[in-house]
Amino acid sequence: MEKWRISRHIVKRSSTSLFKSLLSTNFEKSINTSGSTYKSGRNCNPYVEHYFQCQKRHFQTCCHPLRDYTGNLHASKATNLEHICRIQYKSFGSVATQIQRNPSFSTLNSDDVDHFKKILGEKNVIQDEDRLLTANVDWMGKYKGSSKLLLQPRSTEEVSQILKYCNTRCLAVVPQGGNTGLVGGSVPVFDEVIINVGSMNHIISFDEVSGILVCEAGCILENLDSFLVNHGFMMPLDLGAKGSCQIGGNVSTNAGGLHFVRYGSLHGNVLGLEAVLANGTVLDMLGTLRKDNTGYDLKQLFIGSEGSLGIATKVSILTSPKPSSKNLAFLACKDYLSCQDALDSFTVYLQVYMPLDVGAKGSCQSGEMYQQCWRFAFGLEAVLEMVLCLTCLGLCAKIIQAMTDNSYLSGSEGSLDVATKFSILTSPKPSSKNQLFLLVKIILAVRFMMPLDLGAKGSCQIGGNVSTNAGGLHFVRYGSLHGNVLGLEAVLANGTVLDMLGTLRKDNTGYDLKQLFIGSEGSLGIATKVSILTSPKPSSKNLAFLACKDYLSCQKLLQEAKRKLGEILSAFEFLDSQSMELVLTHLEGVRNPLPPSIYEFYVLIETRGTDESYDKEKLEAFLLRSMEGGLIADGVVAQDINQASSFWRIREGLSEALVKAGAVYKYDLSLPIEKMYSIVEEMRLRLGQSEKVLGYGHLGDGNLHLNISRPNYDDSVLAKIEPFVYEWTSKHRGSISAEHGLGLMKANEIHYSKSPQTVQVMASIKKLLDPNGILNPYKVLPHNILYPEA
Amino acid sequence: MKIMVAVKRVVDYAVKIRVKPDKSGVETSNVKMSMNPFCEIALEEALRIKEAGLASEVIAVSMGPAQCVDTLRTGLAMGADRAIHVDSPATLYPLSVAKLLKALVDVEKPGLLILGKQAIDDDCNQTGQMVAGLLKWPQGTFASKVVLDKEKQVATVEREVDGGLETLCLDLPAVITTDLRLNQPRYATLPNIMKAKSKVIKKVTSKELNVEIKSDLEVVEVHEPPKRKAGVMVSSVDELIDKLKNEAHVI
Repeated sequence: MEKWRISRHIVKRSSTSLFKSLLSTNFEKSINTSGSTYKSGRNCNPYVEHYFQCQKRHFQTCCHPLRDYTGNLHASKATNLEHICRIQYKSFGSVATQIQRNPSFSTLNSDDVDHFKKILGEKNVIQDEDRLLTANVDWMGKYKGSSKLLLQPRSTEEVSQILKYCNTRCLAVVPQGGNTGLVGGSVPVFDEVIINVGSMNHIISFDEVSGILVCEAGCILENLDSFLVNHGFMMPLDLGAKGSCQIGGNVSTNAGGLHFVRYGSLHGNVLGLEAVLANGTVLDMLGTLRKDNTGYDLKQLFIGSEGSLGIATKVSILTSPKPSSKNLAFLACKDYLSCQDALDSFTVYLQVYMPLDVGAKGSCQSGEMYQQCWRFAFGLEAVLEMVLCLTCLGLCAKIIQAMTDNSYLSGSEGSLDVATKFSILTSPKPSSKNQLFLLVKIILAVRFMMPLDLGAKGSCQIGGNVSTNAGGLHFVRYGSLHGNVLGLEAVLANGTVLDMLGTLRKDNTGYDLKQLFIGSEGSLGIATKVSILTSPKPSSKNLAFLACKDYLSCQKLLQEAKRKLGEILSAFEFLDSQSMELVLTHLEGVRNPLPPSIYEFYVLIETRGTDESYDKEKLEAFLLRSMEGGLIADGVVAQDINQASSFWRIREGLSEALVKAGAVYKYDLSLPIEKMYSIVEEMRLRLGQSEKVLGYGHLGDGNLHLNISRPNYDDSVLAKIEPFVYEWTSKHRGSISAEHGLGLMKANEIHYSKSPQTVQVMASIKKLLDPNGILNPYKVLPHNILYPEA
Repeated sequence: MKIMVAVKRVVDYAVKIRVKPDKSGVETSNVKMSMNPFCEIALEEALRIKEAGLASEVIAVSMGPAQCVDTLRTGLAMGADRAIHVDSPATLYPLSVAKLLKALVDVEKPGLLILGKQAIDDDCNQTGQMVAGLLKWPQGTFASKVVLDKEKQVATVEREVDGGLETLCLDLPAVITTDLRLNQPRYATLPNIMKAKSKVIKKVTSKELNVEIKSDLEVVEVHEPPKRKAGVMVSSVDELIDKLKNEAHVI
């Protein structure tokens, strides 16, 4: 939707009336060919001014046909394109006169074409005029280039070869996916060679436990979504253009879309990326791990870089379990403040899992209300987005009750009456609305919480958390700091203050530089200010401590928990029998919650929500079903906070117990969940009976804390552990540092998790931002790269 | 023999208590509520007596608004056989609770009534004593050990008193209130939670029990204890002595 609005702004900004009328005519033409749904849904008007007036009224009806429109565009273009383009060319010319073709770029010759044919084969090198027209013009028909060549590589290797050649020949290229962009980013300006990745459309792997999808850049969003539906998952982003836009393009433009408010930005959801740089270097950053703190998070630079740093060829993305129920409410608001406040109240009172009764939706009776509604579409849209993705069963009555109790919904009109709401929240009645608003803000303020929670929270500082990209216990619910940090102020080595302290949830202007600093461990700059997205404080928490007979059950339980508990799942931790024994022996006052026997595995499941009894019911129902299914051997549910703390004490006290037990070798590994425990078993075999090998950690994020506990440090034991543990992790495409970072300890081990090319790029970035290398030296990057002459 | 246990729903032990802005009481909306810890101990003791074969049934009783049912569910999940909820929207003070309990005892006729020594919200420590008086039963308060003799129909109760332990012998039926060190309550296990789903919670009203709810007490004001003042660092022994003498007036 917002993309659509962007298009409106662009059009508004262009001042020439000629342009307006031309666009309008052309828009009509292209639309009329795109199917009857559109025509019937829209009251066509030949004048732009009128068109935009009715656009508000018909926004919803327009919206869906737009999707169809994109889908049908290619078909319709074949017949009408020529005409459109001619007009477009003129209009484009009037806007773009100031851009000059860079004279240092070469022009295409027949040798080039022959070379490309050698790389790609005859049929993937396209010079056909008709087909080139489709690729030369954007779908609004607003921007048109004059490229003479379209290349369709089928593999990363081919992309790499193309770029290597173009780079040496100094041929400009434009990467293209579904060509659904709205700012003229995906079409050539002049004669750039178009590299369309649409043929690279294979799904490489999908992991049902973690929900991680790996696919090639040319996969169409909707195809991915329908593939995932069969597995009970969904893509974390949804756009109007999903029928033709491609995932590589989505990532390159950091597309937001309809469910942003629930699933957050791609900076948080993209776990890995393979990109080809201009010189043909393939940067393999295609991790499939939720946590990986080895070196700078380079992929973040490519997300939203709009193809200007490299061409995305493969993507690994975190998908969400498909919600089993959705409800949508359409509400009318009196003014913008109401919308804003409605959003707040939704977040605070309903959080994201509660539905609204469809029966209570505001029926927009008068045309005036309807218009008002759209006038404040921005605020409302956010609410709609939120409500769209609400999931749950049979709670409608309760919410409506809660809402009417608080006068969020007054009467049948469903208008959000802010004034009444305030008077209930605060007595006596303050006089002005602004005062009220402030007051509520303050009330709301105390109900928010930080999205991360660490064992060290009593002394760790936010700057450090951000610099090391700290993970913690509730990562599974709130995600990484790459998604939650909205802005950052950092001071570079030369004293330059880099002000990136935005507070916007969406900002796609240029490279997202702050992402580089998150997790850079102080080696690129010193973080001085942070703006961070906090979550409403959950008013209800529930915790269960469970026993499982084997690792496979734990894994299946996680899978089920993600699906059945959905958004209320806030922690999924595990520990093995050795860990449990160690805690019981070395920590005072800890008792086994499930006496008398020791089970092979223990799992802690925590839920957070806003409705105590509902959450509890949901959790218990889930646990009972899992117990009947044999996934859980036994379990207890905390009945009060005290019991909950004593369960957490077992998991959180492990580090302390290990220190009390003597010497400890600690490893913080990120691994694919199904292989995660194998390293513990292999390590046990390798070290023999005499050594205590413990496995515990954040199962929900695929993050294992592997610990070898013994009475004293011994180099011969260490030699058996290292480098075996790093090699094993590397072999299974894991990360040798999931959340702890590299620091001094693992600076030289980075190559176990990152490809040489990637490390090289990191070093160039370090060199660029800190030429003398004064910031946090000897850390993060290998010494032989940082100090080659030494 | 039946055992009746009174359980109270209170603000969770671990929650930081906040006083309502109008000073009429403690903030309870949107606050985690749990079973009073002393009541948990009382219930645990009843369950242990039953598991030792000395009682046939454990009945959990709670009084107050509809949400008390959640607390009773916890009790059932711990192992109580059935539960009674006395529905009362009004604030209940110890004497009313004692009267209601007496009325329930008259109906259920348990051989033992166990309560927590006090609730952590109002710290009254009165209900057990009052209900014993109303029932004219012997009472063993602050119990740290309970031994039941089924044949002689007596309960031996050890109490922690200043300077040592006092042991009482009570004829059944009797009232016992529990202290902290009596036992360590169990967790609600999944199988027990499952069983609890089919257990009955009976709802009665004070009217049905013929008890008139009124109170001779009125809460005038509730306020937080004064905040502790920040300390000061003294730079020398002399300064310390000076402060102790002239400011604290202790030497």
